[in-house]
Amino acid sequence: MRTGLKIFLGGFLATAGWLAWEWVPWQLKTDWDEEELMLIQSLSLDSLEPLKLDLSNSVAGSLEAAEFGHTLFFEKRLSANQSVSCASCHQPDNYFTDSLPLAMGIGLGTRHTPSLVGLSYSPWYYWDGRRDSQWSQALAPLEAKHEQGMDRTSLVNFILHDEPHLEKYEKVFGAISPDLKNTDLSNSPASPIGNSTEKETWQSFESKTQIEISKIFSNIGKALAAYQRQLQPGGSRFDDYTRALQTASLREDPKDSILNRRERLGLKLFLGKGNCVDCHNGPLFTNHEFHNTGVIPLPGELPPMGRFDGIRIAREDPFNCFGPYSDANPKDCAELQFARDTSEMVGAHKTPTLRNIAKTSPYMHTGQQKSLAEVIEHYNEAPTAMVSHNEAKPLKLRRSEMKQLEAFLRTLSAPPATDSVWLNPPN
Amino acid sequence: MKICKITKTFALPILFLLALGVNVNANDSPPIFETNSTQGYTVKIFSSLNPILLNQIHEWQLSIERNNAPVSGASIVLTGGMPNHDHGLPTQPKITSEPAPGRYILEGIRFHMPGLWEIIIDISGDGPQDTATIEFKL
Repeated sequence: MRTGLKIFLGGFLATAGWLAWEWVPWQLKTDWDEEELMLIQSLSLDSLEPLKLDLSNSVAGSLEAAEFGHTLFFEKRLSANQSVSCASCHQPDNYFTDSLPLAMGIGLGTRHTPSLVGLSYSPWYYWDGRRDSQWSQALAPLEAKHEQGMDRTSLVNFILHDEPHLEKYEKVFGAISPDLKNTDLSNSPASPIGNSTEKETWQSFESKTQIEISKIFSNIGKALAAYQRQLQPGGSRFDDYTRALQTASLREDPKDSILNRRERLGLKLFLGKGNCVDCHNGPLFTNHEFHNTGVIPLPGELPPMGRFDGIRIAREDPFNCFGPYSDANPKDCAELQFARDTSEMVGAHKTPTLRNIAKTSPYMHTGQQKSLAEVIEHYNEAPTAMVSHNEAKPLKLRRSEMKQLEAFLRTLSAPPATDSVWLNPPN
Repeated sequence: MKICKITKTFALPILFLLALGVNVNANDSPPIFETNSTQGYTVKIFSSLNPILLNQIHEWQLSIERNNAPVSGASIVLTGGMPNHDHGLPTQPKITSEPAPGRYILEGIRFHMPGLWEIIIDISGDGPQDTATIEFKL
């Protein structure tokens, strides 16, 4: 045989072998052992416990507060330019995300907008956990210059002088003091965290006025949180499969039924070789914790410190669980009291839910990964972290396995299990 | 320093109960872990959450005895983590009180991942210093 032909055949066989290894789905068994079955059931929405009350928010479970929060959520007048509301970034039609890498309010933000569906189960908010309740989180965008850009006093002044909002407010939180109602705040943009003029004006207020304004401000956050608690995930094809699995016949049935073979193989990888369930566990597919997984920052940016800074910010937040505006007994603040703050938290970001993940691209804290395929590629490689260390290890998945894993992730989508009245602007 | 190690594997019942959330009064339940150290300490751990569930902050009660007598006033430090993942506990649990001699309340413990966990209990006081290491799988 001529040398050229030998080289050609050798190359052909090597290429064919590589393609077969990468793309042929060698793993053929999709039946489940007892441990896998229990893990699968632990991920089912049927395993989701009823949402506990947030003890720092006494109106968290109030329907009237949720209705007030509903109006606030869609209220564009709660922004400096009268054109941005919570719903501008947390869009109901997009699973309460915005499809953008970085949030766009009055200006361009620095973080990707997370979904709000099921988020009320989390003890921590923001990618770095800088807020310890949903109501304290809701306050920050209102005053952030690149988001809604209001100042605290103007925002309270708006509530005081808009009859429908005032009526709803007082129905939930009781009457506002006549002294504050009679105080003209209309020309007094002021906030303890605003620009220098706003800070100076804030300092000119009596302490009692500062506390009253901040109290009303905190109640706005509590109403917004009460509304967001209505936004819960609906049952997906995966959840249908978990229910069907409880019948013995389906456990042994290798045929396509609710999930096809590729999706079931992806589920097996999710539970096993993919290590996904380590962090994406429980019915919301998140442990609500913080991990450094070596996500590369945006070009030209330094890697953020993540949870290491976030827990420090949360501890200093006047609206945290221990703060004067919290309704909690200090003994109910265990998450904040015992939160880890060591160097292990450097570069760690919050584990997001995987429910509706196929519908909420792009991904990661700055939206730097556009597709599920890119995310899976990232975890398959597990690159060295730029700060601290990457907790994840290379998965060594073959191409066919990466496709299977992606196919499984696409089974987790479903419309929110929320009355449509909450998904649209109030009448 | 002596090291006492016990290993318990009870993955299946815990995984099954991820969804069920059973709360048991520590005083009415048997310890979830028990070990005798070579320095003569008997360490029993009772949990307010039994069996342990992922992602739920809870309390432990540590009973520490030596020579059949409660060890009172000791300094107890509990740390731990997941050796296979190269990280520690997600929280910083602390001993917050000793309601009875040799009975220590540990608040703020939580586990956030299935797999092998390691708990290290440092005991120092009037008696010899000792370290007990417990390994278990969630």
